Amino acid sequence: MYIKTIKISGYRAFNKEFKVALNKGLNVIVGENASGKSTIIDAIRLILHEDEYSRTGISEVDFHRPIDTPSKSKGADRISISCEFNELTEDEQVAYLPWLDLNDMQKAKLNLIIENKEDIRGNFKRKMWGNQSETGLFEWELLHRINCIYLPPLRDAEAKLRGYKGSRIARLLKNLRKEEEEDHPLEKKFANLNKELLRDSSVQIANKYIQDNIKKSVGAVFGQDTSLQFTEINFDRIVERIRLLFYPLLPGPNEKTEISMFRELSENSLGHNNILYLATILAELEGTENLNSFHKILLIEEPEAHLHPQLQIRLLKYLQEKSIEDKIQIIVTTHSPTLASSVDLDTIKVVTPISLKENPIYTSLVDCGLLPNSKKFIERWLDITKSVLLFAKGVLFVEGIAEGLIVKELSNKALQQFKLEKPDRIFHNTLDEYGISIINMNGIYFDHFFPLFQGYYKLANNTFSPSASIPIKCAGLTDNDPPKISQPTSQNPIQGSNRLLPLIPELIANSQNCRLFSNLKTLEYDLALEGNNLALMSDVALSFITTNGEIRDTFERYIQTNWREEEITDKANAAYYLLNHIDKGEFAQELAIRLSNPNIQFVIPEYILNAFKWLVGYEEE
Amino acid sequence: MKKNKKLTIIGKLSEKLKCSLEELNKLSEQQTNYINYRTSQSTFLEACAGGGKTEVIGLKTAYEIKRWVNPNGGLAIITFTNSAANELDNRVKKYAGISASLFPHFIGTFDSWLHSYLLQPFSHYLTRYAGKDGDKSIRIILEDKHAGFLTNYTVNLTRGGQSRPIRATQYYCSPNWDNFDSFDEDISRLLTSQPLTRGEIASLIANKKKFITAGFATYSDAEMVCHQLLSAYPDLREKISARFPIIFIDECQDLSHSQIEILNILKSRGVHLHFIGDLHQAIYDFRKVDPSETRKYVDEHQFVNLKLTNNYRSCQQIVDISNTVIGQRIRVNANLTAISQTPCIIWQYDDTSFSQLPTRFDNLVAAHDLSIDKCAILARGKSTISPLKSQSGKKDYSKVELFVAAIESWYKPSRNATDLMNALEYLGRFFCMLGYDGNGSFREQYRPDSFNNIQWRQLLKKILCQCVDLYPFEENGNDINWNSWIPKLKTFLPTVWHELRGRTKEFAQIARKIRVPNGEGNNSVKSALQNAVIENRFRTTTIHSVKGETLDAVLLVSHKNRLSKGGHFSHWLRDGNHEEEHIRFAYVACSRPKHLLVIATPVLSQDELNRLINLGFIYQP
Repeated sequence: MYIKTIKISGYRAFNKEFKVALNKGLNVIVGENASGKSTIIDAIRLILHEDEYSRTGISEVDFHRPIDTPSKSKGADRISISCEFNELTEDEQVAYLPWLDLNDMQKAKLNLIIENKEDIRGNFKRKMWGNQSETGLFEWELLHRINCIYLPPLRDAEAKLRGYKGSRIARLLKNLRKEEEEDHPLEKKFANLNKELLRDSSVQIANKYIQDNIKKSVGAVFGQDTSLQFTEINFDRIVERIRLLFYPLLPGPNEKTEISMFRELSENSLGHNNILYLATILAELEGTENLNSFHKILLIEEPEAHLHPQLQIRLLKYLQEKSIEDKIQIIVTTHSPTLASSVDLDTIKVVTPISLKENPIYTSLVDCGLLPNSKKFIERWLDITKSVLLFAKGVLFVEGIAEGLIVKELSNKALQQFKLEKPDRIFHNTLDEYGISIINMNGIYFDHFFPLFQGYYKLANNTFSPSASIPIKCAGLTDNDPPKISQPTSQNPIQGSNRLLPLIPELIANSQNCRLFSNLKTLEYDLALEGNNLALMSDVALSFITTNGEIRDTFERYIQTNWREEEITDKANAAYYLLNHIDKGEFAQELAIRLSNPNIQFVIPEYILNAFKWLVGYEEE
Repeated sequence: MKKNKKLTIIGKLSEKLKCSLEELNKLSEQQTNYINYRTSQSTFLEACAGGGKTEVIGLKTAYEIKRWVNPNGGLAIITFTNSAANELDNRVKKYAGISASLFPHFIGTFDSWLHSYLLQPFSHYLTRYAGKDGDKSIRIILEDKHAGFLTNYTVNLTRGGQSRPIRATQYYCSPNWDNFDSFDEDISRLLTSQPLTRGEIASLIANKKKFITAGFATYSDAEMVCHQLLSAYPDLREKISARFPIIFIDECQDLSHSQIEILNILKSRGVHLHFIGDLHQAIYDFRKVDPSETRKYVDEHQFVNLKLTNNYRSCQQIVDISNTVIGQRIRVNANLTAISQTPCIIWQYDDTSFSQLPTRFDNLVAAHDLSIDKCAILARGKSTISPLKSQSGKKDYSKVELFVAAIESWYKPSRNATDLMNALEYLGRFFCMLGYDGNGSFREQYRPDSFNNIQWRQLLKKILCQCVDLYPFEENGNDINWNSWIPKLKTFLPTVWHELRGRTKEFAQIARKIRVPNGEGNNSVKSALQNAVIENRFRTTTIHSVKGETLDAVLLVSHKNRLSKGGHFSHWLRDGNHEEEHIRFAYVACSRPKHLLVIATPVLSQDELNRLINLGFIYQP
């Protein structure tokens, strides 16, 4: 069995029912700060009674209070969490009988309600029940058979790996102990050791001193006998004294690290201690394989803490393998693009805040209707820089590096222009301030990426059906790509060969958040047709010309021309000439540098402006 | 050879169970044989009264639990009263050395088992009950409940030209909806004396369905719904059978027809049934339980028949008399030494000496040095018991009398715990009947849903404290009569009525119900409280309520009227016919005491007396 969905309401940021869909094995929840990732984890801990870090105690602030009410107001009437399990095996169905859905016995449901009413002891009234009837016997054993372990962020792994009551190591050893065993061999060994040590004369002498003093102080009648003892000989006490040590290198084949070489964890790096800690926990979950635990669930918040990127990737891959091998459902929250870019896309869940008054939106990428080849494509393509799209508040896809460089600079100019056009609206200075990322796809792969955002998918009969999507604005800029020798103008456009052009009307008709914008020919060509842009662009082109001749002459003439006055066909002709005499990459870099000067005048083509307007909500009230 | 076998079994038991060898050694061969008997075959253990049945079940089930390996399914150990369930639970935990939960095993009453694993989790799938605030629990309504809302669930049957309303709680149906009957004798006659018309059947079914679909059920309805669930959902049948592959039924003589049918469905899916009981002790005729059905069932399904035929409770004379009552010809051996020369005694009473019976019994018990706590005065019906009870007897008060009794109990100078409880209960019932259409739970002082139990008790207390002017029931030094007292009450009630949160009736709507009891106008209010004062320190109760108990001495009081239904001694000792229920009643009563059995009869003819003396009784004039 595994947790299929969690529904949360009245808890912290979640007012109305917030539904979290999970899958078997690994789940990676990404999202910006304060989007509700930890609340999801805490809700799972609450309903499963995981209390190692004693956060399952509820306080009044855990009850949802709308953001527009005073901070001391009472909050929601109740916290309600329900958890649906799926794929129960035959054995599990028998045990979890009172929780089962009779229409589909592979499903079971567990519910928790905490009323926002304190009793005299300051406890909030709780109620738990299976499926849909609150009345009747609640078998707590069923809950306790779900082995849930929680790892908080920035955990103090060193402290957890020391020897103390309830330590991880103690738990591991206790879990591994067979129930039937009366005396653990460790106990016998310790008892013998004790006897041995006590024979030592120094111990004998010390004890005698104590006894003499007792006799002298209270007399023989009230006196008590004493004995010195080295250590507890009960199993639980013994394992509580065990602590973990480390040595930075693994032994080679047939080698063994000398005991004396091991070091205290305080000498180890934070990151490595975290890994050691995780290893003991996975060992514990593995160790409970044959015990009566039905579902193993590991909740990890921000495992990237203290780990360098390669180690993060290695760790996550390992978790993914473990989750399959040992049937552990692992739920990870992260801010790390490294982690987000290194796992199976289906495991990723995005939490997107909408406004402070509303619940965030939870999107499982697996529900976005990605076709298998798109999914494979994105997984190959998604690297650290590109996985920011999962954390962004808006995304602008461009086709190549040249576009990426130029469009970024154009966006700054466009935003200044918007401010002048709509003085009563607030516009930020840069797309970064909006949280909008410009992402270069190195090709026209919009059809692979848009499904993450578009909110619909195409059926075989060319009709459309709604689907899940990451609820942020998304735009793409693509070149029309008519024949290379053509010189289209706005009066005389030419049908391009870009295979994705039909996507433009399709998105307008079906998508709430996603648009594709296109031009006459190519970015540089379209830039050159606007205002007096050709003069600046020719100046940039000229800076790469090292020889005298016709090209230099032409560019120098172009620089001197006032292109605002020229015929459009002449402009098209000149733009065509320019494009045939530049190296796109170095040209784009230089142009971008020039454009970064706020005093430079440059006219932005309509299709690019429209993309910016779409992303920042220019037309919205 | 046999001796050896017993020793081997005891050896096995002592390894698994927390029970001393000394105790185990006391077990008879029959007992050890049963404990050791395989569970993979349905069995019927016929245990005579005093056969040590409870001890044997405790050991047997504890032994099976200790050997149990299946973590998902377990034993269901089923009894018919909560006290029997608690007793068994304690024993099993003691013998098995388990302090916490017995999961996956279940110990409890048939109803709680059925309701926890079938009715509450699943009935709504069948009944389509929509639930209240998401809770689809069924509410159990007692058959004799007469609350206002039940008028919505009433059918009218016309018999002899008269229309008779029948509430949904007053009749039950077979799982196929083809048979109707009632625990109420009058209604049972209405339903069974002549064939029902099609229209009547249809309206009975429709009414019952309406009742159940609204989320209600009587205990019988619950059994019917569970039966239907098991028939309609084969998967559920399989899962329940796997969850409880072995079911022990203690006091199996109390199984009703529908309960046997439910067990039979499970048996057909491979469940092994273990019946334990004594068919001679079946006294649930009023629930239409017929022990011959159990007999027929175990015979037809070829249960292995095992027996406990030694009596460890009573002395030989009492054992012999009990066996005479049921016509048992095989001698049952008693293992207890008599402490009295005359353990079986006859007393006669007339109208004046009747009230002296408790005192006389007191003297007898004292003469034998027995403890009063372990003695009881028993009769078949409440009409014989009530006049024997001291003031603790609760009269069936009318509404205003309830109020009178409440303040009397509250204000009387020597108020004890019982009075306190009575005061709250009477007043609670008063308000429940008048202000809430009778919708309240008798266990919690008739608390309506709009209060929690603490709030309700506090309100009742507050109102009682405000009644100072209504008590004592005197005016100018004389006893006040009803004509003068009722107006006072009518002035008082409106002052507190607003406190009844969530009431369904305003005071004005019920004011006419606050009236002088018929023909009592000039009688004193105090007269309503007067009972014949009887000095009685004994537990005085029905035979029903001592089922399964061991007592030191019993005074069994015959009804004074020969025409009483089964309450007269002559019905108990009829020759020849041993199948009647009265005889089983008498058997239960006679087989309780260890040392003394006294039967008190109305004055007998010499013939009758001689017959009793011939049976072994000693007559004490």
